[in-house]
Amino acid sequence: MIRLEHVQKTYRTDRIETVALTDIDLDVEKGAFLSIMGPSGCGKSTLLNLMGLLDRPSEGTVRLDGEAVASWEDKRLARLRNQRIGFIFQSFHLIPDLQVVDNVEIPLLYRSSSAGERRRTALAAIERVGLGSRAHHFPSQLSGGQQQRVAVARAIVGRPDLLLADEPTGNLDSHMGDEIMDLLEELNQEHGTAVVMVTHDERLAGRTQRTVRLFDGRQVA
Amino acid sequence: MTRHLLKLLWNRRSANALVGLEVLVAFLVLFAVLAAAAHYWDYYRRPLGFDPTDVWAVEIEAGTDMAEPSALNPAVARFLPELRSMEPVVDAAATIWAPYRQAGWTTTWSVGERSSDVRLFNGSDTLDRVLGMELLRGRWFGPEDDGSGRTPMVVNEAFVDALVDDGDGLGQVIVDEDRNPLPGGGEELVRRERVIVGVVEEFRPKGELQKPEPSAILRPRLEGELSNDDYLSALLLKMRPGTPATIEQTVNDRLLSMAPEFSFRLQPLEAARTEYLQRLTPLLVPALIAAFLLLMVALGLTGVLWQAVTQRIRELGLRRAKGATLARIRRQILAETLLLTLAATTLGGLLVLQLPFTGWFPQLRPAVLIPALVLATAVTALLTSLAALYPSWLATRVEPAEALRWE
Ligand SMILES: Nc1ncnc2c1ncn2[C@@H]1O[C@H](COP(=O)(O)OP(=O)(O)OP(=O)(O)O)[C@@H](O)[C@H]1O
Ligand SMILES: [Mg+2]
Repeated sequence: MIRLEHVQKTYRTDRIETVALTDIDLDVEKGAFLSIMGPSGCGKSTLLNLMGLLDRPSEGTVRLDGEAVASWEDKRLARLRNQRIGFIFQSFHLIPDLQVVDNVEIPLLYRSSSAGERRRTALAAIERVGLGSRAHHFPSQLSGGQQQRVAVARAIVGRPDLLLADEPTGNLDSHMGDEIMDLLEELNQEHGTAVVMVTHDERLAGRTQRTVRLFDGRQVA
Repeated sequence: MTRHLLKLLWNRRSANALVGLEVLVAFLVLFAVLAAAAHYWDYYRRPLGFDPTDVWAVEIEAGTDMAEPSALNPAVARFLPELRSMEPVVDAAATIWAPYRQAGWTTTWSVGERSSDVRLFNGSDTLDRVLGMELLRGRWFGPEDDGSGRTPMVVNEAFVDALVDDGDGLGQVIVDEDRNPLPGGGEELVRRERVIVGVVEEFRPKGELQKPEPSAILRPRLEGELSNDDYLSALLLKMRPGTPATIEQTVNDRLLSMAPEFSFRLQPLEAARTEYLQRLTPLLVPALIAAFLLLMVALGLTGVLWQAVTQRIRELGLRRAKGATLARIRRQILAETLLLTLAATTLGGLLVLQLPFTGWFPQLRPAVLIPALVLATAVTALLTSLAALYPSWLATRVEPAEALRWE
C-alpha cells in the first residue's frame, strides 16, 4: 500500500545538517502489522511522518498504491490524510481548548457527515479506548496515559486503512499498553487495517508480523 | 464546523476577549477619526452659496471700531455708483463683513411656536449679482422695497425649514421686539418687522467649514434713519476677468479722495479664501495625531492577532495532518477573526449609536455617523483579516510535520 524507495531525509537548520534517514526501502502491504524499533534519535518519527504524508523526503520516492506522491497537490494530500491515514503522535497533539469528544471529532470535520453522526462516531471511538466517562473533560484534566488514549481514539475514529502509531503505549502501564495493543491487533485482523507502530517494547514488537530496526537513520533489519 | 468554531472561540474566551478588546479600541479610534473627517468633509462639500471668482473685497476701517451706520452708510451710497463707473468694475455691493472674515452675529427669532437661532448678514441690493448668488424662489430685494416699513430679507432653505410652518416661506413676516434701555432710565420697546422676499439654497460667507444653519441676509438702508440693522463694513467689487493687481491702488486712491476719514484694505476674495484654507492647517495637527494613533492601533492589532495565530501553528499543523486543506485552514482563521471582529464592532457600534442621545456631540448627525460607522466597520474587518491571514499563511507554508514541531 505505502512504499518508500531509497528515501533519505536531511534536516537543515541554519548551519547544522542532520541526516535523519539514509536509503530506506520499505513496503507496507495492505493488512500488514509492522513494528519499528531503534534507539532514541534514530529516525523513527521521521520515518512515520514520511509515511503519513506529513513531510517530504529529501531524496527518494514515497508511493501510495504505486503512485509517487511527490507531485500531488494539497487538496489530494489532505483527502488522503483524512480518509486513509490515522496518525497517533508521540506527543499526542491534542488541542487543549477542546473537550475530548471535540478533539476526537476533528478528522470527521473534514468529511461530509452530519453533526449527530460525528458525535456518535466520536463517542464510540472514545468508548473503545476505555475513556467513555471522560468524553467531556479537557486534555489538561487527563493523565498522560489517558491523553494518549484520546490520541488513539482520534486516529481510529475515521476508520483509516493505514494506522501509524508513534509509541502508542509509551505512557501506559503494561496492562493498559496491552489493551491498546489488543485494539490495534483487532483493527488489523478484523478490518484489515495496516498498522505501523513505533515501540521500545520488545514484547509488543514480538506480537507484530515484522520488526524494522533502525540505527542512526539506517535500516539494520 | 460552525459549532466547532464557536466552541473553540468560547473555550478561548479570555484570550479572545483580549483580542476583541484590541479590535474594539481599533474600531473606536477609527470611528472617531472617520467621524471627524466626515464632519469636516460634509461641511466642505456643501455649497457656499456664492462665487468668489474675480471679486475683490474692500474693507472699510474707521479707527479701531466698526464705523457707525450713520457715519458710513451715506458714504457707501456715494461709493457704489462711483465704483461701478470704473472701467474694470462690473458691479459693486456693500456687506456687513467681507466673505471669509470670521465675524458674524446670531440672534434668536420665533414664529408662533417655532424658534431658532439665525445667523444674520447685511448685504446691499446688488449683492446677488456681485457674488453670483442664485435664488431658488422669490426675488432679491431692491428699491421697490423702500418705504414698506419692513426690512426685506433673503433667507436660506434651513431658515425656511426651521421657522416657516408651511408654504415656501415667501412673504413670511418675522416680528422681533427688543427692549432698549433709555438714557434717562426705563426702557423702550423696539418692534421690527422683517419679511422674506427670496430664498437661496445656502449662504455661508465665513467659508467652506462654516456650519450650515438658518441664515438671513437683510437689506441695509444707506440713508435716512439708520439702526443696528444697517451695519456695513465692506464693499465687494466684481471685476472683469484678468483685472491686474494694480487696480488695488487705483480703487484705493479713488475711495480716499472721496472719503479721507476712512481707510481701505483691498484683497481679492480668492486670496482671502487661500488664506482661510491656510489658517485651517492647524487642523492637520490633530489629523497627524489621528494618523499616528491609527498606525499604533493597526500595529497593536497586528501584534495581538499575530500572537494569537502563531500560538496556534501546532493546532493548524494538527488539523492539516487530520485532513484539513490549506484553503480550509485559511477559511477557519478568517471565520474566527471575522466573528471576533463582528462581536467587537457590534459592541462598538452599539456604544457609538448611544452618543447622539447624550447630546455631547451635536456634530454626530446622520450624514456623519452612518458613513463613519460603516467605514470604521469595513476598515476594522479588513485590517483584522489581513492581520490574521498573514501569519496563518506563514504557518501553512511549511509541511504539517514542521508545523507540529513549532515552538
Ligand atoms: N525538524 C527537525 N529539525 C532538525 N532536526 C531534526 C528535526 N526532526 C528530527 N530531527 C533530528 O533527526 C533525528 C531523528 O529524529 P526522530 O524524531 O525521527 O527520532 P526518533 O527515532 O523518533 O527518536 P525518539 O525515539 O526519541 O522519538 C534526530 O537526530 C533529530 O535531532
Ligand atoms: Mg520519535
